Amino acid sequence: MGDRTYYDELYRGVSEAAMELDCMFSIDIIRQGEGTDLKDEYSYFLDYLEAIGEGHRTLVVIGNDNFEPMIHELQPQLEKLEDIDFLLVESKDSTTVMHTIYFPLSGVCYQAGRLTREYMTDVQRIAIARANPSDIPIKGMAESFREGFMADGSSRIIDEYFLQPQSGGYEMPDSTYRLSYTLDSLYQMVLPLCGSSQQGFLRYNREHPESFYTIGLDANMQLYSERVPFSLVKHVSSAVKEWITRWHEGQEMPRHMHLGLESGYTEVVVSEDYKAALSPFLPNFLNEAILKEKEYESVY
Amino acid sequence: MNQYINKHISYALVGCMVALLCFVSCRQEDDIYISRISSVRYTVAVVLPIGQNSEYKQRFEESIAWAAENLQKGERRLVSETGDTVAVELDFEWYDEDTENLSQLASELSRREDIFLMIGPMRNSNIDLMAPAFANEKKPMIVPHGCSEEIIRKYSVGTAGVRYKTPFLWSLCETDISQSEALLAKVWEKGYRTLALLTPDDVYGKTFNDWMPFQAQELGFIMLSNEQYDDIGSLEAAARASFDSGAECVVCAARGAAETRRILELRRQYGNKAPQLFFTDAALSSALLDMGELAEGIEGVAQYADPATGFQIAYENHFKRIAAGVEAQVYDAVLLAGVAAMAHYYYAEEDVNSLLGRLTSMEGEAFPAWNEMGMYSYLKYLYAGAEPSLWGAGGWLTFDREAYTSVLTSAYTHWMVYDGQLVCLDYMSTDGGKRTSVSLASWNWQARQQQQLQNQDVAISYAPLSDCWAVLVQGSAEWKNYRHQADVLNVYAALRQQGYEDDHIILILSDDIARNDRNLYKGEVRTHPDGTDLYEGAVVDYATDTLRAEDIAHILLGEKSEHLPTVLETTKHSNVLFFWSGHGISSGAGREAGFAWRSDSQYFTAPMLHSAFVALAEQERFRKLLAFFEPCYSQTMAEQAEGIPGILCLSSSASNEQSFADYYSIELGTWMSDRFSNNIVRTFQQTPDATFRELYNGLVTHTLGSHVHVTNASCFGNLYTSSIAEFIQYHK
Repeated sequence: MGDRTYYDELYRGVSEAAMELDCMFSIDIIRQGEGTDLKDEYSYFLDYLEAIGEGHRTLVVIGNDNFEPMIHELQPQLEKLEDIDFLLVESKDSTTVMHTIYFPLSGVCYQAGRLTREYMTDVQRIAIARANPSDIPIKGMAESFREGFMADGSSRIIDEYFLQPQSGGYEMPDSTYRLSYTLDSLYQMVLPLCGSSQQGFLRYNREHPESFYTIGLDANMQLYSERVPFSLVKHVSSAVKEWITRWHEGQEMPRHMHLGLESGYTEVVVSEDYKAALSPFLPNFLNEAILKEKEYESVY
Repeated sequence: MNQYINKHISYALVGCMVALLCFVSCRQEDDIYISRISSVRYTVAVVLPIGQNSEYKQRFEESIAWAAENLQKGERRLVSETGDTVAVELDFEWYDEDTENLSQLASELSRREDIFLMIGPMRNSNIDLMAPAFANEKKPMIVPHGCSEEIIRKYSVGTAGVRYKTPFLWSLCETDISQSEALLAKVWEKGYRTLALLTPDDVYGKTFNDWMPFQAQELGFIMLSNEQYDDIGSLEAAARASFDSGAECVVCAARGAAETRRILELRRQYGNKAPQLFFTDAALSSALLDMGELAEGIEGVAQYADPATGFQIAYENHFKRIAAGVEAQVYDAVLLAGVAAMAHYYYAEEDVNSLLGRLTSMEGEAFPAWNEMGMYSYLKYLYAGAEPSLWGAGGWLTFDREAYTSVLTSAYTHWMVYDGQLVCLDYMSTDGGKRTSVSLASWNWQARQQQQLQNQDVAISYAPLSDCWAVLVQGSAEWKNYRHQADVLNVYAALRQQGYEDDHIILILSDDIARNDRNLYKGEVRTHPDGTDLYEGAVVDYATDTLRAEDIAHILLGEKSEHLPTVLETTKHSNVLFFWSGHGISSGAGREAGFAWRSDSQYFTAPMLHSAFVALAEQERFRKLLAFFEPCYSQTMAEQAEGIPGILCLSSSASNEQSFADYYSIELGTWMSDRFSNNIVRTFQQTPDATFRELYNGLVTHTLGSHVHVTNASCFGNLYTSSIAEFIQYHK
């Protein structure tokens, strides 16, 4: 928590729901063992679940898909935990005991790329700062943004930078701040596909009012810098809150929810200072972006 | 349950983290059971600015009520699970710190047996008023915002020479030395290089006034003005002087909304010529938003909740507003009071300060414990015999195990009024955290970049380093001065550990301890009853009864003779570490200041030291010289190096101050070490590559009862970028 983007929004949704429904909730930090015995790890996880449940109807909300392999392995035991339901956010997996929600951003990225291409003509060169080369969803986001921006086959340039060579790269704001000094002379815009590492670019923006634009990611980042023309937003908070409320009411919840552009839970949100210049044109690319989202989600 | 807990603890040591949010529905039968639980009540006095006109009144009252509610719910849920029938509950007695006679109130509250502890007051000047009574009665006071460096040092725990020998003051924030540094880092990042400082002339302003000029110089700012004011009446003249100084940025330590508003009104009169303003934490309150356009765009740094605890978002959801100022710390004060009360009841332990000490130094299972279920889990671990860390709303509630008195780490936010809203732009902490940047991270990086550019024209250039030498002197003698000899041997052992050969250390001791008749451990010298023997293997070059005081100068200058066969053999490529432990002599009554030599009748005088330093420099007998002076009044001796390039002195005490011993052994009947020396050795051992600024900060924080000084820094080099490594990591 405290990333000021995705995890904070998820936490906000759970916290709001807990408050409104007068239920308890806890924040537990579970560390996945590296190099430890898998059996121990699994048995620990089951112990943990039994301890937190203890007769109460419980929902365990998991913020990312790191637990997926364990869930598959423990499927038979988890099914026996009648009082516990699971909600795994940012997972496409619909084959386990878990309920899952996924917020695809490839359609939003395509729409943002098109918008930039057509209506921000001062942007000729863009740097995409990817957390790492391995994570598939951000690869799809980078590709769809690129396709939108280069839609007419123009000679504009997009370069990609990786914050980490293999994995991680989502919590490196000091590194992106330093990287900004290099990028500023080369690019007019940065697309930070790197979680809370985007804060380093935003800090640089605040200190250098004439620097590159930064696209906000996951949440509306307009308050962090005047150089954020728009943000690629997942409405995680409201989606999770609504999901929990329905669960609390005892409704039968769908095994998986895919909340893309059509659902309204992901969208491009234009910052106040740029609304006159950009907002009227945003809908022009919506239908095209919805189609692209389906295309990309089938691949990535 | 124990098995589960043990597994959980060992498990927590490895791997990457995933946060699970567990959402538990309430059950009606639980509520019925909980309603049958009876209460054991503890009374907590709350002394905060809660008068009718206080901007904090509603916020503090609501935060405290919320904390108490979460505590109670968490505890009762656990009690209901265990089948117990009694739970602890807090009753609050409220006092307005702005209208009460605080000295009288302190006297009354500290003596009342029914008062478990006190929360507050908030203002540092008021803490100073109330603390002595609580210290005398050993009644705990938990202060959400005890940030004055002077107050923390004054009431820290010490073992000798310091008045307070047991902890009683529990401040939930770091001192403003850290805030000052975080603030300067932000100002620096924004590109301002000239500064003015505007502070109130009270205990709150004092930390900034004492520290910011020093820090600013180290960071490369030019301080053009340093103005102080008494009250809002004298504020105008001081503010105008700051604005007129030509500084690009004025740092204002305004004490609340009224002073902040007045400063902003004055700034408006300057129009486009007004400097940028940067405020300290006392300005951050919701009152800023009532100032409309006047406050738009202003910014500053303030202590805040660490974003990783999740408190801020829950607070926003609960109150539909953002937390201001130290609300998280006020919340944590209740949390700590509640946990202490529960532990007090559960363990039937009488000494509340000892309990607080234990609870705030546990390092086991870690999770945010501030909400209902967090508290439930925390108590579950605690009662099962585990030692969970206390992670509150504001951050870790962990205190230094030796000094207590203030938490080890605070989070700071860089805030701004933007579009009529308070926005937290960044989070920082001294050592960095999961969601906070190191305060000086970008400064450090940019400073390194700059240094590459400045290498050609730095004011002080040093010859290449070829070797390191050390001269370690015990000036005192006899059993009663055991600690001085132990301290010198401690430094000797630390240098040997870092690779020094014995032939590069000149060790000068009275050498009358190891074989002393009173030594129960013959042949051994230690700095602590449980410490290791430091004497074994030490090669003593001179026993002090064979030397005169002036011989020390000859040894430093390499003047070998039959009488002095072992002297420094240094060149302009040599770094020299010079350490002196013993007694100091202050100047006065026609006597010069100096270090006593075996007794007060003869001594190594300040002029002797000055002449030696000058001669060393003229003869190019060192590249850099680092001197540590442990005796009382040692600042006077350190000043003998002023203006001589390449010498840096760290002294344990001001010219008019004593320095203090650390461990006393009842068994041996003597003090075994001094704190200043212990802290030096600890730095050598734990962080041998520390910068001088880190060494200095560590010594200042941990050397209690006297002021550690650094002297001649401007003739030595940048303390933020140069490291002690070049003195202690051995070069032959």
